[in-house]
Amino acid sequence: MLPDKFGRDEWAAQIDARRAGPSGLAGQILARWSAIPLAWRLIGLLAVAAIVPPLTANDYLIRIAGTICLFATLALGLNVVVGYAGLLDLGYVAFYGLGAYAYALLSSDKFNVHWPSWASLLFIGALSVGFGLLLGSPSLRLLGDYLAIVTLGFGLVFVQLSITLDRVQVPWEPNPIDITGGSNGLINLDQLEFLGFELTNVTHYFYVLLIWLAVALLVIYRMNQSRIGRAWRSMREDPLAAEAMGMPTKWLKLLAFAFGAAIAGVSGGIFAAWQGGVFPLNFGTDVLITIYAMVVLGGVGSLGGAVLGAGLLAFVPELLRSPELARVTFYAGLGLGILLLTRPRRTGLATLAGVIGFGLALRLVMHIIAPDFQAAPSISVAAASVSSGFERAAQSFGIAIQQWIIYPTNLTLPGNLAFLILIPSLMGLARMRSGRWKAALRIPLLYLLAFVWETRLSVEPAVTRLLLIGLMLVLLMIFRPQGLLGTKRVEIA
Amino acid sequence: MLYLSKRLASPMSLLIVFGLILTACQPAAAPTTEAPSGPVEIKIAFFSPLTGGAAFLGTEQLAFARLAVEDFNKGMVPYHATLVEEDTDITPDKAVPVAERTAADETILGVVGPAGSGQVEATAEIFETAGLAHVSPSATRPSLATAGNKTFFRVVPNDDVQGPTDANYIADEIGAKNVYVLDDQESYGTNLADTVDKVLKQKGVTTTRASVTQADTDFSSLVTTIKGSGAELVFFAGQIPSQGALLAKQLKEQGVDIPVFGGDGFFSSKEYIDDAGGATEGSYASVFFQDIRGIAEAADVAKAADAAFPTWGNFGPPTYAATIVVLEAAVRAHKAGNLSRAGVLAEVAKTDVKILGVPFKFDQNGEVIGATFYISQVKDSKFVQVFP
Amino acid sequence: MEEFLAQLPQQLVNGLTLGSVYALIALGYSMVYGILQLLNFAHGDVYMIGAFIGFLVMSVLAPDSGTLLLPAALVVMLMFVVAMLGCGLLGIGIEWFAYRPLRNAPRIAPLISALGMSILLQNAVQLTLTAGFRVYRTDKLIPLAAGIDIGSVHLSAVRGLVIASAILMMIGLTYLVRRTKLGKAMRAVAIDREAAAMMGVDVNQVIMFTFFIGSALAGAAGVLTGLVFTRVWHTMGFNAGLKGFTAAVAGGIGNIPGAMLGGMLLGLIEAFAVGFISPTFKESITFFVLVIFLLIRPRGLLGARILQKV
Repeated sequence: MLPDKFGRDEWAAQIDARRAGPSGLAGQILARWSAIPLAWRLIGLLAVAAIVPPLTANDYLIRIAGTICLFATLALGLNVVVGYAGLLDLGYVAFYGLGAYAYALLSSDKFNVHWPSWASLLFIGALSVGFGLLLGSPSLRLLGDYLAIVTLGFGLVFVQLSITLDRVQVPWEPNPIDITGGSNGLINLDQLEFLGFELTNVTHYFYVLLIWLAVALLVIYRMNQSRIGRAWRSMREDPLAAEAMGMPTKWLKLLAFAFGAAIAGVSGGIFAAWQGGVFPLNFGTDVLITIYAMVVLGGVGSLGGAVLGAGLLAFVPELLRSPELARVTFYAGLGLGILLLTRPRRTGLATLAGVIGFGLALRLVMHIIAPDFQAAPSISVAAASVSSGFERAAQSFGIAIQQWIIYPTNLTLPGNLAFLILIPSLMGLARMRSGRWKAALRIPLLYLLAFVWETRLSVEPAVTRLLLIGLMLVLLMIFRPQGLLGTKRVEIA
Repeated sequence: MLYLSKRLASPMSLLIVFGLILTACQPAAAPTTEAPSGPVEIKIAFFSPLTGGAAFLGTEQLAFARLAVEDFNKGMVPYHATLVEEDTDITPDKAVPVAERTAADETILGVVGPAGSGQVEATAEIFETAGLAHVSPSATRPSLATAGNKTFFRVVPNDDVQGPTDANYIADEIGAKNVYVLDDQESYGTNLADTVDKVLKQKGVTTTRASVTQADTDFSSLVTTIKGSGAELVFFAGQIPSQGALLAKQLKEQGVDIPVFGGDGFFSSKEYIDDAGGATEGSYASVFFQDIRGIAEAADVAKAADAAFPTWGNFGPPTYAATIVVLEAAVRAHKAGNLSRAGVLAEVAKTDVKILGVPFKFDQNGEVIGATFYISQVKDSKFVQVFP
Repeated sequence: MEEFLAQLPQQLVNGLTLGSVYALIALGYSMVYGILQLLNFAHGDVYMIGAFIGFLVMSVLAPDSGTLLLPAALVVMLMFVVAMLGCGLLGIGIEWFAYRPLRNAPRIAPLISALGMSILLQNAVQLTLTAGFRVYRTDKLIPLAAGIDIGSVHLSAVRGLVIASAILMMIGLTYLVRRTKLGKAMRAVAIDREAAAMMGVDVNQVIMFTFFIGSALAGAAGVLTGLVFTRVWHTMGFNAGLKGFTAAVAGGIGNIPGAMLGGMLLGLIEAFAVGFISPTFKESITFFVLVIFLLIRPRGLLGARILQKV
C-alpha cells in the first residue's frame, strides 16, 4: 500500500517480473491487443464508435457518445499537461471556456462577426496557444503547489469575468458595452460548416468530435514518441536532473501548457457550436473536477487511460439517472468489486454470501422483535409504461433488493446516521491490516453501505456522483496511484 | 486469410456486443390512445434544480408539483397522472441531455419546466422538434416568448413587467430619490436590476449600480459605501432570502436605516423575516405570483404545503399551477380523442382555467395573459401585500 | 477625498473583521505546509464543517421556538469548544486516512488526494444536511444593536468578539510555538523531518498535533464566521480556503506570524476594494493580489528565501 522504495540492486533484480506484465485472462487479452499494430487498433476502435449512430435512432445516446468524445479529448489535453509535463494545472477549464467564448464572439450576431468555421477554429487554436504561453510563463517561477493555486485562481477569475464583463466602460462609448453577455451567456451561435456542409444535428457533431478525438490521439501519440515526449517525461521525473542534462525545461513547460491549452480551446469552440450557446456556468469547477477525475482514474500519463476514464465518467452519471438502472449499476459494481478486489477469490465469494446472509438474518430478527414491522418501502416501483426487457429485469432486481434490506419509515434520518457511521468505519477498514478481523468486519459494513445507498445515496444522484468521485480520488491515490491503465511509479532510493 | 480474420475477430465481437447493449437500451414504445378498463395514464416530466446552487428553489417547486399531482389524482378519478422527476440543476448544459432523454421517451406527454431561463433557451429546439409542450413556472427572461417557439409557455409574467412595476412603485409610492441597485450576478438578477436601473433613471432618480455574488458572506464594506452614497433604498435583485436578510441586518448594524427591496426569491417568511430577527421590518419583496395564503380557494393547498415544505415562498404556487395546466390540457386532449403530445400541446395553448383562484390563459407567444407583479412589505413580522 | 476619509475608519473595522477570519484559516494552511509541504485543499471544508457544528450546537441550545437553554455566554463558549474539538479530530482523521499513506509519494499524489477529500467532505455535508443556507441566529445570543460607537465608526459587539478572539488565539498559538516543547518539535519537523526524527522527535505525533491545532483554528474561524456573517452553506469552504491560502502565501507560507499578517492584510485589501473600487470585482482582486505576490515576492512578506536543496 505504501509506495515502494527500492534499492538499486533490488530494482535491477526484479526486471523479469516487471517485463512479464499481467497474467491470467487479463494478460492474454492485453497481449492479443498489443499484438495488433497501432494503426489497426485505432481504426478498429474508430470503426466501432462510428457505427453507433446508424445503430440507434436515439438522439440521447448519440449525444452521450458525443459528450464522451469531447471529454476524452479534454482529458487527453490535460493528460499532456499533468501527465507528461507534471504541471498541476487547475485552471485548465478556463482554456476550454476561452475557446468557447471566442467562437461565440466570432460566429454570432453579437458583434455581427461571422467567420467561416475553419478560420474560427484555427484562430481559436492560435489564441489558446497564446494564452497558454501567457499563463505558463509565471509558472516557470512557481513551485508545483503554488502553480496549482494560481491556475485555480485563474479559472475562477475567468468565470467571474465572463459574468461581469457585460458592462464594460470604454472611453469612446457613452454606454457600457456588453462583451460576454454576462450571466445570460451568448446564444444563437452559427453552426459549424466545413466545405459547404453545415452540421445540423447531433449525429453530425458526433462525427466531428470523433474525428477531432482521433486527430488529438494521433498528434499526442506522435509527440510522446518523439524527443519532446522523452524530454517531458524526464522533466516530470526529476526537473533538476533534466536541466542538468541540458534540456530546456522552460520551453518544455511552456510547450506543454500551450499544447494543452490549444486542445482545450479548439474543443471549446466545437462545444460552443454544438450547444449553440455559451454560458459562464458551463466552465465552472464542476467540469474541472470531472476532467481531473477522468485523467486520474484512467491513469496519469496514459493515452488509453484518459479515453477510458472519460468513457466511464461521462457514461455512468447517465446510468444513474434512472433509479432502477442506478440500483443495478451500484450492486453490480459492489459485487464485482468484492469479487475482483479480494484475494483469494474464495474469500470474496464468502464475503458476498456473508453479506446476503447478514441481511436476511437482520430481517429475521426484525420480524421477531417487531412482528408487525412492515418493511414496505416508501419508494414505489413504477409499474406502468416500462417495456424494454432490460428495464423490466432491473425492476425485478429492485423488488428483490427491497425484500432484502430493511427500510425505516422515514428514510432520511437513519440514512444520514448510517452514513456518518459508515464513512469513518470505511476509512478505518481501508487502513486496517488484512486478516480475519478485517474480513469479518467487511460484512456488516457492506450491508451498511447498501443500506445507505437505498436510503440516501440513490435519492440524490448528483450529490452521490460527486461524493463517489471524491472518495475514488482519495482511494486511488492510496491504493493505485497509477489509475487503471497507467504505469506504476516507484522511487529508487 | 486466417490471419486477417483473426485480426478482425476482436473488433467484430466488440461490435456485436456493443450493438446488443445498445438495442437493449431502446426506449419504450408509445402507448396507444385506446384506453383499457384501467385509469387513463398521463405521464409528464418535471424539470427543476433538485441539486446544486438553486436546490432551495427546486425542492420547493418539486413539493408543489407533487401536491398538484396528488390533488389531480384525487379529484379526477378516471385519470392517473405520474410525475417523472428530473434533476436539471440550474445550468443550461445540464438540462440538455435530460431534455433529450425526455424527448426520446414517447410516453411523456408534457413537461413542467425548465426552471431557468438559460435552460429554456438551450432546450427550446429539442422540445420544438419533439412537439413537447413545456410550461415553465419560473423562467422570466422576456426573449423566451418572442423567440418563435410554439411549445413554450409560462405561468408567470416576465422581467419586462417586473422591472417597471418595481421601479414605478419605488419612484412614485415610496418616493425614493437615491437608490442603490444591486444584482447577484445571476441571469435573473442582472436582467431585473438592469431594467429597474433604466426605468428609475428615466424617472429622474439617482442610481448607483453594483453587483455581488451569491457566495458573498459579508456586505459590511458595501454597506459603508451605501451609507456614504446617501441612498434611501437598496434594490437587491437577488434570489436568496438569507442574503437579503443579511444585507438588511448589516445595514441596521451600521445605523443605515433604509429598506431593502428585493425580488421573488426574498418572499420566504422563515428566512427573510424570522431569521432576520427584525432587521427586515419595513422591507419589500416583489413577487410574480399572488400570495396564496390570502386566497380562499387555495387554503387547502397552502395547508398541505405547510406540512410538506414549511419554508415555501413564491416558487411553489406557480409550479402547482403549471402542473395543473399541463394535466388539465391532457384531460381535454383525451376527451377530444387525441391523447398525444400534439393533442396536449394544442390544448395547453387553449388553456382557460382557474387554478388556486387565479385565472390562466396564454397569448399566442405562450405568455400568461393578465399577469402582474405583486409587492409585499414586511409589517409586524409578516408579509402584507401593498400593491396592487 | 472627504468621502474616502469619512468611510476609512469603518472600512478598517470591516477589514479587520474579515481579516481575523482569514488569518485563522491561513494559519492552518501555513502550519501544515511548513511541516508536510502539502497544500491541504480540504482545510477550507474543515472550516465549513466547523461552522456547521457551531450551527447545530446553537440550534440545540438556542432553539428557534423559545428561550435559551443556557446563558448566552455559555452557549457561545460551548459552540467554540465543540466546533474546535470536532474539527481538530476531523483534521487528525483526514491526515491519517488521506495523507499519511502518501508521505513518501510523488508530490502530485497527496495533492490529488487532498482535492478528493475536499470534494468528499463538501458532498457528505450536502448529503446529510442538504443544500441550502443555514442562518445563525446571533441576535438571540448577542443583540443586534449592541456595540460601541467611536465617532462615525460603529463597532458591533459581534465584530469586537471576532477580532478579539482571533487575536487571543493567535497569541496563544505564538506562545505554543515559541515557548513549549511541542512548539519546538513542530519547528524542528518543519525544518527537517528526518533530522528531527533522528533527534528523537515523534514525527507522526507532531504532525498529528499540527493538524489538530490547524483544524481547530479553522473550526473556530467557522464559528466566528457564522456569528458575524450568519450564513453557512456547504460550499463556503471553497472560497474561504482559497482566500486563506492567498493570505498564507502573502505572508510567507510556513511562517506563522506571516499568516496572521497576511490574513489581516487580505481582509483590509478586500474591504477597501469593495469600498473604494467596486464590489463587483471583489473576487478577482483577491486573485490578483495572490498572483502579484507570487510573481514579485514569492516568499511573501515575512517568509524566508526559498532555497531548493539538491
